[in-house]
Amino acid sequence: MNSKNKEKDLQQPQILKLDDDFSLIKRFIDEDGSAFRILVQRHKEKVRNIIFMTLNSSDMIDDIAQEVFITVYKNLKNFRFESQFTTWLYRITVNKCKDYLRKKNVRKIFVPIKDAEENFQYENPVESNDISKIVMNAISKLPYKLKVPLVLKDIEGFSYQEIAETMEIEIGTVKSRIFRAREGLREILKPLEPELR
Amino acid sequence: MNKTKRDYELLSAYIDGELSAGEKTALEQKIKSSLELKKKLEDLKKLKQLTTSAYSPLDESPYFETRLFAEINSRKPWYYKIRKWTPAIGFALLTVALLVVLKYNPGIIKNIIEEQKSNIAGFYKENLQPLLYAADLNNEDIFNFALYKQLPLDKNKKEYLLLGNDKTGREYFEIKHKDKNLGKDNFKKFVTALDLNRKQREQIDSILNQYADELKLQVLVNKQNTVAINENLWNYRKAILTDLMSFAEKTSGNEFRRMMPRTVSFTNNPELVSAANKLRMNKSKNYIILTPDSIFSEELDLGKKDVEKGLSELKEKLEKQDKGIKSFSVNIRYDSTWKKFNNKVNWSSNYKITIDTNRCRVDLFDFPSLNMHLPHMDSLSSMLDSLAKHFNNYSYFIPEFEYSGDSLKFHFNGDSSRTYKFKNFGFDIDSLMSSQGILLDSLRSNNWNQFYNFNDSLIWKNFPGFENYFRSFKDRDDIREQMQELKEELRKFREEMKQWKKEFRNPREFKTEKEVNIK
Repeated sequence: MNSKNKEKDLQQPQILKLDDDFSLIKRFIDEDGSAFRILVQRHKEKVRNIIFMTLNSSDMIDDIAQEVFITVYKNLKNFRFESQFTTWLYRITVNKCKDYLRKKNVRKIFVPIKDAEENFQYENPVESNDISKIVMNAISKLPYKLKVPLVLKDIEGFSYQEIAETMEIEIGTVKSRIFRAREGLREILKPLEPELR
Repeated sequence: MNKTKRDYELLSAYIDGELSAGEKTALEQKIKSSLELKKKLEDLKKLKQLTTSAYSPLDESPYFETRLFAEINSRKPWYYKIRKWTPAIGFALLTVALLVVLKYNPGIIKNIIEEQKSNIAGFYKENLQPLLYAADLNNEDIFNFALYKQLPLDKNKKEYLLLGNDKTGREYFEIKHKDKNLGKDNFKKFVTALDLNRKQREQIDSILNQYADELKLQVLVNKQNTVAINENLWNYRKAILTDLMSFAEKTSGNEFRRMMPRTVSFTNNPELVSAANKLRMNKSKNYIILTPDSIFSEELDLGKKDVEKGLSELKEKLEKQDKGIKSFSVNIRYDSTWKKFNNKVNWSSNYKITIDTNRCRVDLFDFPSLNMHLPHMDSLSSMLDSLAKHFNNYSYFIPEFEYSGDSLKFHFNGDSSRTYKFKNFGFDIDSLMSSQGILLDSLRSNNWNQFYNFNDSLIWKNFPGFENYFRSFKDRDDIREQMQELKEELRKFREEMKQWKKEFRNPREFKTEKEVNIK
C-alpha cells in the first residue's frame, strides 16, 4: 500500500464521522427506518447522562429520554442541517428537563408535608460519606440555570459556544453562569470541607 | 460588576480554556502579580476537579430502544393506526349497509339476479334463427345427423352439435370444434349402396327435405354463439332415421338386407313407424338454450306459422333469384319479457356441463319429459350404428374405364389413387358360399351383432375391395340376374337354418323383433 492510500484510509473515517449524523438523518427522511435506530443507539447514553446530571435523580431518566427521542422522531423530517444534530438533540433534552422540573415544582405544592420531609431526609448529603455523592448532591442544590451550564461544561465537556447554543443564551451569560455556579457550589460545600479533604 | 469579581469570572473561564489569547496573556500577567488571584485560581481548579471527578457514568438501560420504538408506534397518528383496520371496517360497513337494504327490501338480491339473468337471456336470444339457413345445411348434413348424430352449427368455424347417450342411457349433447371425421358424400354412398333409381332418389331427397323443414325450428342459432335446442331433437333424429330406413327397406329390400341383419325390419314394425309419424306432429316449445356463459331451458313461442311463411317465401326467392346466396337472417318473434321469462324459465341445475379445449358437453338429468317414445328404437340403435359403419362397404362408384379388346383399365377417382389394369377376369362362385359361411358362423357363436362384409357379388379374392366393380361391367344385368337367383336360394337356406336353430338353441337369443311383438 503506498503512502497516498494510507492517507486516504486515515482521512476517510474522519470525513464519515463528520457527516454521519447528517447522512443518517437523510436516510431517515428517505423512509429508512433503521437510520433512526442508529441515531438513538449513538446518542442515548449522552442524553440519559445529561438528564441524570440535570435532575440528580435516576427515577425519571428513561422516561424523559424517551420523550426526547420521540420529539426528535416527530421533528427530524424538518431538520434544517444548519447546526449540529447533537446541539439540537441536547437543546431538546435540556428543555425536557426544564419542563419536568417546572411540572415537579407545581406538583410539589400538592405533596403532603410528611412526604416532602422524607424526600428531604433522603437527599441529605451529610448522611453520605462518598465524596462523589456529596458533590453531586451539592450540584443538585444549584438553581437550574446555573446547574445546567456547569454540568455541560465540567461533566459533559461542552465548549461555552456549544452550551450557549444548547441553552439558547449568550456566551457571556454562559461564562457568568458557570462562575456563579462554582461560587454557589463552593458555598454549599463549605460546611462539608472536612469530609472533602 | 466590580473589578475583582470580573477577574474571578475570567479565572473561571481561564481554567475552562475559554479565553482568547489576548485575555489569557493579560490575566496571566495579573495572576503573577496578585496573590489573591493565585489563591482564587487554586480554589477554582480544586472545585473543578471535584465536579469533574464526581461524575460516574450511568448503567446502560437494556430495553431502552425496545421501549422507545413501542412508544413511537403507539403514538402514530390515528389515521395511521386505523389504516390496518381499513379492510375490516370496510367489510363491517358493507355488512351494515346490506343489512339495512335487506331489512327494507328483502327481495332485492333475488330481483337483481333475476333481472341479470333475464338481461343475459335476452341478449343471447336476440335474432335466433333456424340452423338450416344459418349453417346452410344440405341433405348430406341431415343424413349425417340422422345416422351419425352430428349436425354442423357453423361450417366456417367448424362447430358441430353432437348428440349422444352415455352408458346409463342418459342423453347428452356436445358442441365440438371438430367433426367425427365422417368422410364425404355419405348420403351419396348410401343411395348408391341401396342402388336406387332416379325416381327413388328423388323420393329419398324429398323425405330429407320434409324433415329439413321440420328440423329447421328444432335448432336455432345466432351470432352471439347461442344455440337453442328443442327437447324433441333427440326423437326427431330417430324419426328421420326410421323414415329413411323404412324407405330403404321398402324400395331396396335386398340391398337393405345386406347392410342390416335380417332380424331388423322397419316396415314390419308398425308401432315404430306410427310413432315416428306422430313425432313429426308433436310440437314442443321447450328449448335448451346454450349460451357462452350459461345454460337454461325456456319455452320459446316462435310464432311458427309466421316463421314458416317467411321462410318459405325466402326459400322461393332464393331458388328463383339468386342461387349464390349462402345465408340470410330471419327474425323470429317471441315473447321474452322478463315477467314471462321469470315464470317459465328453468335455471335449475339439471345439467352437467363439461368443457375442455374444443368441446362443451351438456348432460341432461331431469330434463322436461321427452314425452314421445319410439318403441324398440333403443334395441335397434346398436344395429343402426353398425349400419352406419358398414354401408360404405356396399357403396361403390363406377370407376372410369377403358376397354380395348381383352383388357380393361380402371381409373379410380376419389378414394384411391391406384390404377388397376388386368387382362383376364373370372368369377369365383365358391367364394360366395365361403363368405356366407362366415356369416352363419357368426350366428352360431352368439356373436350375432357382428357383421361381416356380406359380399354376395362376384368375389375376386386376390383383389380385395375390387370385386364389386364388376357391378358396373357391361354385362352387369346378366350377372345380377344370376346373383338374384343365388340370393333367393341363399335366403331359403337361411330360413331353413333359422328354423333349425330355433329347435336346437335357446330361443331367447334368436327372437326377432317380430316374435317379440307377437308375444
